[in-house]
Amino acid sequence: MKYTYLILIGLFALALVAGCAKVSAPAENKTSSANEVSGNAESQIDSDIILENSTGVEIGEMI
Amino acid sequence: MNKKILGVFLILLAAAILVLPRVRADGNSSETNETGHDLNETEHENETELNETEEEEIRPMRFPHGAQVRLLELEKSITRNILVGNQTIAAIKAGNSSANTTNLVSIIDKLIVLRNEVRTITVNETAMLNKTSEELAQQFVDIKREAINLSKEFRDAARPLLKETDRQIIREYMKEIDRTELKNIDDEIRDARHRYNADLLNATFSHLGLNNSALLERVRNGDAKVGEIKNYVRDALRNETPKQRQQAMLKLREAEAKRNVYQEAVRARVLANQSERLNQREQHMNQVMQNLSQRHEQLSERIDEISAQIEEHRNRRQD
Repeated sequence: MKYTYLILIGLFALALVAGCAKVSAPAENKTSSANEVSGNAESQIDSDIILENSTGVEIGEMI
Repeated sequence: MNKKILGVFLILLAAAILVLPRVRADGNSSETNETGHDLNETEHENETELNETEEEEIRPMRFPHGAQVRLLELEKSITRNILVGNQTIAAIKAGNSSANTTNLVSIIDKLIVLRNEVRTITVNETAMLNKTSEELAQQFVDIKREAINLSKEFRDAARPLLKETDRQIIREYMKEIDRTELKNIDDEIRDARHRYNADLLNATFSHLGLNNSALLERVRNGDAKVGEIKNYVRDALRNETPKQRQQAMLKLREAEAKRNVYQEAVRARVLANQSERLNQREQHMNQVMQNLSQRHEQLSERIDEISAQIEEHRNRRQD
């Protein structure tokens, strides 16, 4: 019986540690790879650039 | 007894495993729920917040050339609707000369006032530079929303008075003006767009520690494709040292944070004192319309006087 309690307390502690570890912030990567940086830059270019086929500002038709 | 304790313990253990990570991970969403409002519900309740399209449209306006692009595009859309509106009124009158088009004419006059308001900013660089980018973006949103409302009002009033044949003729006319009357403003938009894209890429290259004036010149002339620019960035970054790349990443994140701050500032400006701004705009619009009406009356009286003088002169000659 004593061992059962010990095992249960151990499991409880383990669950707490696992739960906290799962949600804690991911460790900061000290160095960024070329792909990461270019991925970030490309996504900023994609979201900010105005393309040639942009539809412009639409205010609705009159008829 | 021991079995009961064991059972309770197992239930507690299972609850700890299931609930704990959710409580920690959903910290933000639980805060939202604490206010007792569903996010979607809030969005519906407050329709005057920036919508997705507006968010996208104001993004380039933090650069002066980006603001110019958006304001010119707005000017073009309003001009297009004024031309189409006039054509619609003419078609209605041609089908039924006694049709009442006073309301439609008044809407077009209001659109002209709006177009002039936009033009006052776009043609005057000092006017643009004297305003902050947040101020310009808020003005853009206000004018655009008013133009949308007026266009809808016109559409609702004109539709019952138009025949299907009229609609077809007007649609043809719309294609025609895109090629003719709106060509000049299209050219202006294209030039401003190229300048904006070059400014944007210049800033991005600077964050990445890159320098390629030849490519920027080609962007400014509208000769470079997005794929080509991205390829250049990808290749150039491969040659940078890890330290340079880390520096670039930090600067990119900083630029993104600044952009988010700008967007948030515009959101706040658009929401603040909205009803007061709308009232002021309405008063201004009424004043301009009143002045136009007085001017119209004065011109009509003058035309009547001249007509009477001509008639009198003719009569004298006949005598």
